[in-house]
Amino acid sequence: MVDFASAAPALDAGADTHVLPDHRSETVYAWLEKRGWGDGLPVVPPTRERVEAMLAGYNGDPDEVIGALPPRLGEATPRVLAVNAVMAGCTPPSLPLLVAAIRGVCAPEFNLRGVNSTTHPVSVMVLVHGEAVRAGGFNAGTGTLGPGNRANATLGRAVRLALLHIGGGTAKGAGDSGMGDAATHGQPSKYTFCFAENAEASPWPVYPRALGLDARSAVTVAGMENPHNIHDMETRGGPAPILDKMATVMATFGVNNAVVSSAEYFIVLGPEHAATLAGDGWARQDVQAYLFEKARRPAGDFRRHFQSSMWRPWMRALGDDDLQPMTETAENIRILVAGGPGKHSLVIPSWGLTRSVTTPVD
Amino acid sequence: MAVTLLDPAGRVGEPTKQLAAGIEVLTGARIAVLDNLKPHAGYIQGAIARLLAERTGAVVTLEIPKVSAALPAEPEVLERLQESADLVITGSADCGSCTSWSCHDTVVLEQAGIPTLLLATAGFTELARQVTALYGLRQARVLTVRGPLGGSTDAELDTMALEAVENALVLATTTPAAPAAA
Repeated sequence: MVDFASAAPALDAGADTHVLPDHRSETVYAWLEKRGWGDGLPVVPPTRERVEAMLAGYNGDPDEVIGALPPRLGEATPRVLAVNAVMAGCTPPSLPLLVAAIRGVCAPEFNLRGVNSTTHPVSVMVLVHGEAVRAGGFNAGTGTLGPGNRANATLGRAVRLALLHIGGGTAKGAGDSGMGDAATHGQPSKYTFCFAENAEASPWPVYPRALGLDARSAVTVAGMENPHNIHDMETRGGPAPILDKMATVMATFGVNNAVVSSAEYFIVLGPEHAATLAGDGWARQDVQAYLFEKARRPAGDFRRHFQSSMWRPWMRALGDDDLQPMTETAENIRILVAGGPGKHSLVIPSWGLTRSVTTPVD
Repeated sequence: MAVTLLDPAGRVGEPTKQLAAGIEVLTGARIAVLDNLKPHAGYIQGAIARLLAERTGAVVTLEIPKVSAALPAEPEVLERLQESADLVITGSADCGSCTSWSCHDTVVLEQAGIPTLLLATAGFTELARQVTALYGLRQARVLTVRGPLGGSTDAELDTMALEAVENALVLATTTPAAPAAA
């Protein structure tokens, strides 16, 4: 019987190791909890053997400092990321993707200092593109954002564990690394938020190509809310009614997009909706342009709801009855295809003062 | 059987920093407000600045906003503060990202030699202390008001300012020692 109340004390065997006198998983779990590490779920104990196995196929320098993750400003290296990957349950092919994701969140425009600390529930959305989808065993089809696939579940979890451990983005009361995460409620996607682009079902070029990035594999990170479902199985003929429904979801005042006009949306089209659009001759840019025109509300409504906000000057000049878009450019509406059969798509709003980053995989 | 676990947190390279010296006598000192545009932040910071000036003979020389609470103060804003102020009241630390970036601005200003009061509401004071400590400035001058700022009336904000001014005076005129590490 394990005494959880007095989880085994650890001995420091070196700067980066801890020796527990009892290897049983219950003891390790309790010790990590007491230490304030982990995400509350059981983890794989990060032994030296497991971490070395995780690093064995990594081609880069394992001690490269990719960046300092705020608020703790811990230095993220592939070696420390490998510890977190082991804890999350990743297999070694996911490590380069984890490194790419962390490179992305370290880009200044991602604003990790804000994302990792805000009262907003924002999570880091991780999106896998290209050859890595199949090679890494990711599920880009049915249930891509749901449970049941190890690669999806564990890569997203590893990113979160890195933010918790290296970044100190822990909620109040947890951990010895500070309480950097002030999220009023948080959201379930803070445990894991990873899916894959379904390039095979997409009628358009893959998402990184649309950004001008020609890479065999890539990872996109974005600071986003949980997805909101869009259901349309009624539309026949022209596809505009599908997008009109999306526009109604985008044009809500509860999202930070309403106060930050530079904020992005991700529109994740199910393959069937994407086929309806493309079958009618719509390109990705047409979808962006249509949603930009339709996701609007009267400028006077914006002004009545928000005392201070970050809108472009031309938006501030609009009359009360003029329609103000929810974001300042059509390009801020990011379009891609993921998921399986069914008449569903997703609208994913942003935290606001953050930009998505797409990074090629080394 | 024993097990050796590797540390998942990694090294912290952030060096420990020191506060700027407090201004022992505020008479004639220039006070500036750095407003992060959170609702009512500028109002209460300005109120505290004016109360402090009335009490000590200091002058309020500048009240300047930055673009967003969720971003750092722009270089030109920091430059104007350095030109115009001996003491800065900044904030607010009244949410997560605004606390994080206000802590960042506070550290930058203190390292530029300007004692800086970081206005925090009671609900976010602990966060502000932890984050400034993570940024290397464990002894940051955190000035707490009851809060919350959002939704409070001007009268309520004025009362909070009045309650805070004595502590503001102490923080501005002394150089607090770092609390013992937890």
